[in-house]
Order: sequence, then C-alpha cells, then structure tokens
Amino acid sequence: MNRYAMEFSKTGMIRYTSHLDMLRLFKRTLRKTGVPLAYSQGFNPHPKLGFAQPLSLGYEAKSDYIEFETVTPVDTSELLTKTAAAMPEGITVSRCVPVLDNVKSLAAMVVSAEYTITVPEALYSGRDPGEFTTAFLAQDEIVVKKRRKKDKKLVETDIKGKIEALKLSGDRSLYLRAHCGSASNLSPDLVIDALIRFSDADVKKYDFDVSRDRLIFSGEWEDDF
Amino acid sequence: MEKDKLNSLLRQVEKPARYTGGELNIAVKDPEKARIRFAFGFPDLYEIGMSYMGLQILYHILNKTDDIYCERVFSPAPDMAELMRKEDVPLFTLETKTALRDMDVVGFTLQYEMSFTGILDMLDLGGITLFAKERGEDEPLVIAGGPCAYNPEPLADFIDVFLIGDGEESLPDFLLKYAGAREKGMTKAEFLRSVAADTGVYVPAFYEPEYNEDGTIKSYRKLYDKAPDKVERCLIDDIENVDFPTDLIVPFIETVHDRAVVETFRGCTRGCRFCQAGMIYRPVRERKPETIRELAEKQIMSTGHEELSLLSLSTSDYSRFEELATGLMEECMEKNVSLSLPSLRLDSFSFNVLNEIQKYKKSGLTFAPEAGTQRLRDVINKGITEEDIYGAVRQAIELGWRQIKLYFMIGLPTETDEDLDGIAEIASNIVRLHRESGRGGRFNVTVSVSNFVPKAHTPFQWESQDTAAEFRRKHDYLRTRLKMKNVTFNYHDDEVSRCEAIFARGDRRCGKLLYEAFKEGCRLDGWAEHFDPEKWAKAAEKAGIDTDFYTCRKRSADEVLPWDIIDCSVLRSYFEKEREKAYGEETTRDCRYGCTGCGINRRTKCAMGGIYE
Repeated sequence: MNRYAMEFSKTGMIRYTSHLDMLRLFKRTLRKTGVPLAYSQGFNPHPKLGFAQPLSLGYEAKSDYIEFETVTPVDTSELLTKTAAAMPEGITVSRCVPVLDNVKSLAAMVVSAEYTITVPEALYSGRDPGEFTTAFLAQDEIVVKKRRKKDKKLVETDIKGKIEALKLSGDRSLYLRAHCGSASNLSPDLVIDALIRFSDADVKKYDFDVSRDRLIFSGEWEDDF
Repeated sequence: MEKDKLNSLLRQVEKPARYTGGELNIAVKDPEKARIRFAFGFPDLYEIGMSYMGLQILYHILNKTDDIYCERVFSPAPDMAELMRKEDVPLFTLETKTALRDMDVVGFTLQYEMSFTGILDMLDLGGITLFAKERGEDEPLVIAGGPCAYNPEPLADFIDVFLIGDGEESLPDFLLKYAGAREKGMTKAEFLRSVAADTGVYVPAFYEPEYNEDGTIKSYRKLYDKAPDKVERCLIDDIENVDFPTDLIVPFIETVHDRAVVETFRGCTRGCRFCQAGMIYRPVRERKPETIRELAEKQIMSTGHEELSLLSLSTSDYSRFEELATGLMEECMEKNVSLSLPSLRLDSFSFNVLNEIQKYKKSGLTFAPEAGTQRLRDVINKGITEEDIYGAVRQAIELGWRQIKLYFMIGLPTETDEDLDGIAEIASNIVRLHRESGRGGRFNVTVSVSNFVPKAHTPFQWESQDTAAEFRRKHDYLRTRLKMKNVTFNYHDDEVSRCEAIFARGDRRCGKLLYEAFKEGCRLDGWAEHFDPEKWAKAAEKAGIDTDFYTCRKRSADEVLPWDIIDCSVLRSYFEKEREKAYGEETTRDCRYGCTGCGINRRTKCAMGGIYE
C-alpha cells in the first residue's frame, strides 16, 4: 500500500466550489498527472482518495490535506510539480508526503482546527473588540440554534465546550480553535451565529469571512523516510 | 466589480460556483490589450450553457487571437438575479467580472426558443438598453447566432446583428471588422452599413415589414439599398480546416454533460421532414477518423475528463463508424475513460459496441420512431420500420437490457387516432417480446411524447400546430391507451410547445410579446418549474397578440414567411416538393444513396451525396 497526503490551500473565488466538486477536481487533476491511483474493486471502481476534513462552501483554507493511494510508489516531488501545474487558480499544493502504513486515515485523526474569522466592524457596535471578545467567552453557556440531523428540527445547543480558544487576532479578525472531526465537531458558522446573537448588531452571516488555517491531528502520520 | 460585494452575494446564493469563473483552461488575458472585448452569452443557467459544445468551439477560436478577448456570461438563477437587482450589481462576465454594458460586443447563442426571455433579462441585468434602436453609441453592439437565428424576426427589436450559419470563421471576422471600424471612429450605423452585404449578416434595422389586412406579411421594405434581398448563411466547406478545441473549459460544478466531446460531422442526410437541424446544417461534412482520435486523446489529456462522447446529428451515420468506434473503444479502455455514443442506429455492429462499453451498467436503449404507424412515419420521412425496432429490442433483451425508451411526436401533419393507437401498440409489443423471451425480471418501456412544433426552413414550415385542446385530448387518449403494466408514459406540457411554436415561426410583432413576457417576469421558460402559462397569457393580451395566428394556422404556399429573408441554402422548391410527397405518404431516400435535389450542392461540395449509389 502506497499512501500519500498532499497539502494545499484554497483561496479566492474557488472557495465557492463545494466539497464534492473539490473531490472531482482533485480526481481529474491527479488523473492528468498520470499518477497510478489505486482504484476500489467492484463494478464501479473509483480512485481511493479523500480529504482529511470537508470544508464548508465559501471558506478558504490555508493548510488542508487530501489523502490518496497509488498502486506503485511515486516520486512525490515530481507529482507535486505536475499537480501544481495542472491546478486552476486558487488551489496551491505545497507538499506531498508519504503517510505511515500503520495509522488510521487522516480523516479519522483530525481532532481540532484553527480558523481566522474576519468580522464586520459593525459587530462590535462601538465596543472595544477585545472587551467584546472576552465578554463573549465569559458567558456561562454559548447557546445557538442548530438543525438536528435526525429530524431536521431546530434545537438549542451549548457550543462553549467545543471552543478551545477564541481571541482577537486583528482589528477585524478573530482566532478560533475548535473541535473538528468525526468525534466532536464545531462549525465556525455556529460561532458566527453566537457572535451575532451576542452582539445584537444588525450584521448578517454573509458579512463574515472564514479561513481554516490549520488542521490538528491526534497523532503523527507523516512517514519521514 | 467590488470584491466584497461579490463575495457577499455569492455567500447568499445557491451553487455560487456558477458565477465565479476561474475554471481550468479559461482564457486569462489583459483586457486592455485586446482590440475588442466580446461577451458570449448563453441565455440559460451555467450548467446548461457549459454543456453546449458550440460555446467551447467559438470560445477557443476567438481567444486564439490576442486581438479578441472572449468571455462568458450565463443567465443567473432567480435567487442571484433577484439579489443583483436588489443590490444594484450588474450582470458580469465570468472571466474578468466586467459588467455587460462595458463590453464592446455582447453575443447570444439561440439554441431554443424558450430561452428568449433570458436574453432580455441578461441585457437588462447587464445595464444594456433593451431595444436596439434606443441603444446608445457607448453601449455594446448586441449580436446573436445559432439555429434559432434562422427565424430571427421575434428578436429583431433587440438585436443589432444576426450572424447566420457556421460561426467559426464569420464571428472572428465580424468582431475584428467592428474593432477596426471603432478604431477609425465609425458610428455603429456606419459600421452596420459597411458589413450589411457580408455573407451571413442580417441587420434587422435595414428592413421594415409591411403587413396585409389579414395580418400576414405583405413585403419587406429595404431601408438601406445595399442590404441583400436575402441573407445567405455562412457555410464552412470543410470542417477539417477549422480548429476544434482540445483545451475545453472544465467546470467545477457538475453540468448536464461533463465530458470530453468531439464533433465527428456536421449535417445529416436523412431528410426527416420535421427536422430543422437536418435542413439547416447541410451538407454532411465529416472529420477524418485520425483527426477525431487525436482530438479525443488530447482533450482527455488536457481536461482529465472520465467520459468521452461523440457529437453529431446521428452517430452511426459517420461513414467510417466501425473503424472509429473500434479505435476509440481501445483507447478509452486503456485510459480508464468511459465512452458514450448517443443516437446509435441499432444494427449488429452497434450492439457489439454498446454491449462492450456498457458491460456492467446498461443504461436504457433509446429509439425514436417519432410516429406510431408506418403510414405516418412515411409522411415525416422517418426511415425506421417496426421490424427494425422489434429486431433490435429482441437482441437487446437477449443481451440483458431492461429499459427501453421510445420517443414520439404527436400533432404531426395528417395524424389520426389510428397513429396514436400505433404508439400504444409498439409499447405493448415490446413488453410482449420481453415476456416471450422468458427472461423475466424487471422490465420497463418508457414512452415519451413531445408535441410537434412546426419549424422554419423545413418541409413542414407551412403546417398548422394542433390546438391546445387537441393536444390535451391526445394526451388523455394516450394516457388511457398506455395504461399497461411495465409501461411509463411521459408527455410534454402543451402550453410550452405552443409558446415555442409562436417564436419558431413568429414575425417581428412577436417582439412585443417577448417584451411583455419579460416584464411579467417570465424567465427560464424551458424549465417546467419556472414556466408560467398565466404570465404568458397576460403578456399576449397586453401585447395584443393572437397566438393562434402563429400556432394553429396553416400558411398558404404563396404567403410571405417571416424567415424568407434568410436563405438556408436548401431550395424552397425542395421544401414544397417534400411537403407534397409527405401528403402522398411517399418517402425520400437518404441522399447518401443518391442526390435528392435539395440544392445545397449549388453552394458547396456535397462530399457524402450519393456515396452508396
């Protein structure tokens, strides 16, 4: 088994390309490079590749990963060059590294993520941004309405426990570190909802900008050799 | 356009990637360096427009020269259009996000009549004055082409110039001429006069229709004496000589057809009497098999597509089809690409091919008998017999196909209820063939019925369309007849077909109807969920248009037809002769077996004419 992971960023207009369409993009691009992708068995074989973590439509990413398997070992630097050349504007591949044989999939190892949330100035309604952020975090609970998967009902839920850190990182930007992955996940969208609710200012969700800056894994997976 | 504003809009709409551009293989240029900036407009959603090969062909050819920058623009979906109006954001090109009103030329491809309201919507959203005669010198020139330009009159009020026929040579020529004219300081009117006599150029402003008391056209008065009496279509004699794209734009989102496509030939020799494409794209012009294979290979390399398809009016009519199909199958197998061959004639060779390429996933088999009885098929000159169908179905069942699709048209000239009974009979016979095969299992026959829309430049251009009531009666009749096990019956909405018929043969007065429909909010009328017959009825009332005049009225042979101004290079006398033969239930052979005298060889070499004689 030859496992590899490629690190990439997604910025600019291409952020409006959805998770599934990104998967198709990588599939097509890797095919173009001629890399011998491993295919699943069966009547409808498809290449074995997947993102470490889906990214919401409209978010940018600074350091996401896609994992894939090949039938024979590949020259990672050559593959990186070819992939970089074949990608449309907005996708920059920065590294291609082998993945250890004996670890779970990258997707199963993601535990948290770091984000930059760019907020509209009006959010603070004239208050000091630092003080606003501190007060926001100081709430006993941070309740938002979330649509439950099983019955699609809106239910109130407390997200405070899933926020690992939230602090000012610029005049109009916040640093957020939150649970991410299959075990426990917090979408920055919900944090934005909570911020809007807390602020009472007339700001809209679409005035916010989100970038996922880093994925944090539960263990080492890079094969150094 | 402001980036923040665009981002804010994109965060609020469905499928924002429809509006972002930036796909693989787009043309990236400095707009300042181009002599002319052209917006290629497709008046429907991105997913539809990006599946249209003509766009890819012209985009590629236009952008080869640094003098022209061709960008794309599509109809925004209703959610985006509403936001754009609310936020005062003009419709923009995908490549550089330039407002349409700031382009030099905006061109629309006219693929189907029900997209016409989209043109008005796009002009309006793009900040361009709707009516050509009110448009200022500083506004873009608005042009149009494509099959529906063969009856340009319903759009004449809104379009400055129609380019008729093959566009690969005429469109870049025209754009460069306009660039030159503007560099010389010519006005739009001066420029239009300078190109009025060019092949394929129709300038509606140079003609004024005069009407008889009964509403029919009396004559066309020329307002500029050098404008031609008839506009001859542009025709490329040998398509091997025009460039075909291998660097297709690859959309991010899924489109209707997400695949590599090579056009194998243009035109058709079969001569079905209802078919406009079969007339206006004559003669058949083929690409060489080596060229096709090379193009396919390069496209797959450059796009990473996983599917390859061939484009023509009838795949297996390609003169060296077996050689081509065999070669492509090997190639695709090797590259892990699936091959899709639409509209195959189901002879034994095609079956072997289909069986090979659909080994595991057998899609439905499709037949288009178009009419239910041999008599009516002879009337429309559709050369398919029931034995052809049953023979193919028997074989298909043996090979494991479980889904048969049948396409028919109703409302054809001379049709009676007996012909409708024939449709039911074919369906029930196919079900019986499956039962008798003893193969059991699930089996389904889908009967899809569309409503006949008489088209300009066909032998049936003088015919009446059925009334709405008659269509409905026939639908009901068929629904009862087709109530059988394993048969699914679908039919097209008769209101849409009537609307289509108005514009298919409409005159200049229909522009008013289009304008009123646009004002009522009619958009994306080709989509069942958006088409609103009540709005159209209101629009017709406001425009003072008697729709029956255009739909269910038989034209007399000596009537001046709105599209007589366009010469499609097939003789009018041929259409008349074909119409007489239709009434006599007499067929006309495929002209590969001998010339049938349509007249196209007066203009160009007819390479396939009589090759099997």
